[in-house]
Amino acid sequence: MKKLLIISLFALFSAGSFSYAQDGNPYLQKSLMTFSYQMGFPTGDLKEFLPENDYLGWDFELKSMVTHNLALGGHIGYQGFYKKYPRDTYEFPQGAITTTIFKYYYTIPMQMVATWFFTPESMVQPYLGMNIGVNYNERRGEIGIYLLEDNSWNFSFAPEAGVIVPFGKYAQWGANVRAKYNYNVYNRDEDITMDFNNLAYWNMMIGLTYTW
Amino acid sequence: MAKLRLWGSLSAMAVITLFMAACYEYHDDTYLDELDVTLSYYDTNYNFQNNTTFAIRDSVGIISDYLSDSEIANFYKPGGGNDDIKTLVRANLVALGYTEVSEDANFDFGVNLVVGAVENTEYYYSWWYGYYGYYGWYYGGWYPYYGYPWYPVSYTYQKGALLMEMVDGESLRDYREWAEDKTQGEIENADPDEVPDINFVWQSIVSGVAGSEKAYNQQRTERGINEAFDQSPYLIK
Repeated sequence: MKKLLIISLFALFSAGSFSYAQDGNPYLQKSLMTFSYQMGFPTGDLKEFLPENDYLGWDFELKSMVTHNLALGGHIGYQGFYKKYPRDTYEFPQGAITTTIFKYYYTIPMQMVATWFFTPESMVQPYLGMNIGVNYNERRGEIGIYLLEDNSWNFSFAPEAGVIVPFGKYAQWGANVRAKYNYNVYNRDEDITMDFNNLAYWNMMIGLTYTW
Repeated sequence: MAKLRLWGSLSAMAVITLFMAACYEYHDDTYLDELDVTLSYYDTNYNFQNNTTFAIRDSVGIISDYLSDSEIANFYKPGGGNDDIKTLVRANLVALGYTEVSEDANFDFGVNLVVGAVENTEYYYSWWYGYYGYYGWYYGGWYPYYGYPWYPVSYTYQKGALLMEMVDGESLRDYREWAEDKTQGEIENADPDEVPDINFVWQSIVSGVAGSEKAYNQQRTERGINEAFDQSPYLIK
């Protein structure tokens, strides 16, 4: 918990260390803060483990313009995937088991972010970004009352593409829509049920950006 | 301009609502019987179809650290749990094509039944209540902050398990013949190489957390017994 707090505070407040005034820019100021609602879509090994989307994720981001087009900062988010497999029988070479299976994957990304705004002076501001940092991952399988759990911190990166549309000239609020691909460096070769080469998922995010 | 501000405010409210909803994950309630596990495994080299007769041991054994004497007595009274379990196991084996004989006969399978009932107590430090509707326990590791009291919380639950075993009759008779003229101490201290192996050809465990209603627990036990035989098609004659 302490580690989580320190990393997230460092990521967020580093946004204030560098700044570039956007003088005369009616649409984009020096600093940006974004709250986003996000949907998660598992891919690859994660989708094989837990083929269920999640529609209750969130993200908070804070960054500052350091050049005319480039903003740097940090973000923290949350996504929780869950799937219940109703009571069923699973066979194995020497027998079988009948039970209900619950699978969970919770992830908290804490990353530095670099964003490139292509047209910072226009009403519609498309951007590309790259997030690099760590994820706290909690992957869990419950077979009846028996628990198989794997908690870990993993290096992660997440490229993203999106657009900010301010609610008018000199408006400090704007809509922020983006897509992000999250990749965790994660290897498990001795898992009881399956091997993992990565933990990856897509995000579709809708948020509000406040600029000042 | 006013319209834009209105749309802006509505969008803000929508996003904030979704943001707050995302903080509260809710999963479906889990019922105790969903956590029941029925597991079976068998000797893949054994030919079940060559065998016909079985004998069920006279009583279901009990291993427990919390059942009272009166509860155990109720289990063994006529029409109690002991009879119910034996009756259902018998019915499943007969349905598979086997014939019951007495324990004195040269049966092909010996059937042994044991009930385990143990009480578990778990402790955790309660600091933040989360995951409403999620059954289970969340291990601590959260560091307490000054001003936020944290305190140890314990909860107790009872786990039940029914073990069903099918033993090759010939190996069991060989063992009994070897043990016939020996004391318990001699049996326990015997050289393992001299002790005849008892060949367990099929074993099944039905386990779960006990509920407070006896009828509910009984229904789950019966479901587990049926599942154990349903998931073992190689037993069909």
